[in-house]
Amino acid sequence: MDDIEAMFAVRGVTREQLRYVPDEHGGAIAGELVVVDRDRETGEKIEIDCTRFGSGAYTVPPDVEHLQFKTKAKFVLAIETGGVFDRLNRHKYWEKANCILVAMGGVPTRACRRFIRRLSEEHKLAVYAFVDGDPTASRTSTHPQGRLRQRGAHQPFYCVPNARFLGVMPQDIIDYDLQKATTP
Amino acid sequence: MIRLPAGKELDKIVREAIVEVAREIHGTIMKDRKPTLKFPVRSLKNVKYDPEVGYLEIQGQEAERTLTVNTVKPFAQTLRMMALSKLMVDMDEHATKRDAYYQSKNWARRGSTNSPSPTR
Repeated sequence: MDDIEAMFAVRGVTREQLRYVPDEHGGAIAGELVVVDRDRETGEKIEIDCTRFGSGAYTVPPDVEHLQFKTKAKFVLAIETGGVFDRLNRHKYWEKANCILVAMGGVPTRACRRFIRRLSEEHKLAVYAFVDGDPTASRTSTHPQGRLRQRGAHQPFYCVPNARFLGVMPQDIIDYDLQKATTP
Repeated sequence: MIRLPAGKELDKIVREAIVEVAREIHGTIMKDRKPTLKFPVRSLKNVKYDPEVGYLEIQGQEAERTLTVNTVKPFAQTLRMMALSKLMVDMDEHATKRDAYYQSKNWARRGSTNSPSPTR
């Protein structure tokens, strides 16, 4: 599968366009965004308001190329963990900060990365990768930033070059006197 | 901005890309030559980071897989997956990677007359 993917990626065709989709869902979205999808049978446009999911969220489909977006948000907050996403969503942080919350669920899926990439490019939105301050998280944040060598063939589609790390680094504990706020 | 096509326009591009590769293989076989599949090398040696664009870009190195006795199984599986992909585009269907994996494995192990070779 990886060979086929690489072979066709140089022709500008992705795995999803070859009709192979992942099992897992592509991340969750909440906030100031209207996703314009279409009915697969009738072609009718469907507008999905991501502020109207209550305590739930919109799920990113495996292929996001046909989607259109309407938004007045200022930035995208790509969150590593579902727990933090849920907490911010419960408090409607997206309303206060005028932003779009994205739950990456650990390492983000290709669909999630492509979704964020399209949002950031088409609507000129800043992207912040809100991840833990540990080595796993810094690896996670490199996925949206697109610095993984294995996926070189796919970087033009799936990376988010303007994604910036947002979180606490180990040095910040010293710099901002956070020793008492952290567990040893 | 890289904007990928969608819908029927996209399906046409995908179908043409698959058929182009398949025709090339078929043509080589008809000339009594060993067909070859070419893939970009996916290693650190074959990517370059361009600060201007902000991501790693793949370079031109290619790996080749020529049809031989040793490579007949992966070669056939690759073609099988390409055929399945074209079928799904034609039928407007999708398959998960898990589906594809088991289809490719079971198909090669079945040892039917359609199978390129027995696995052992």
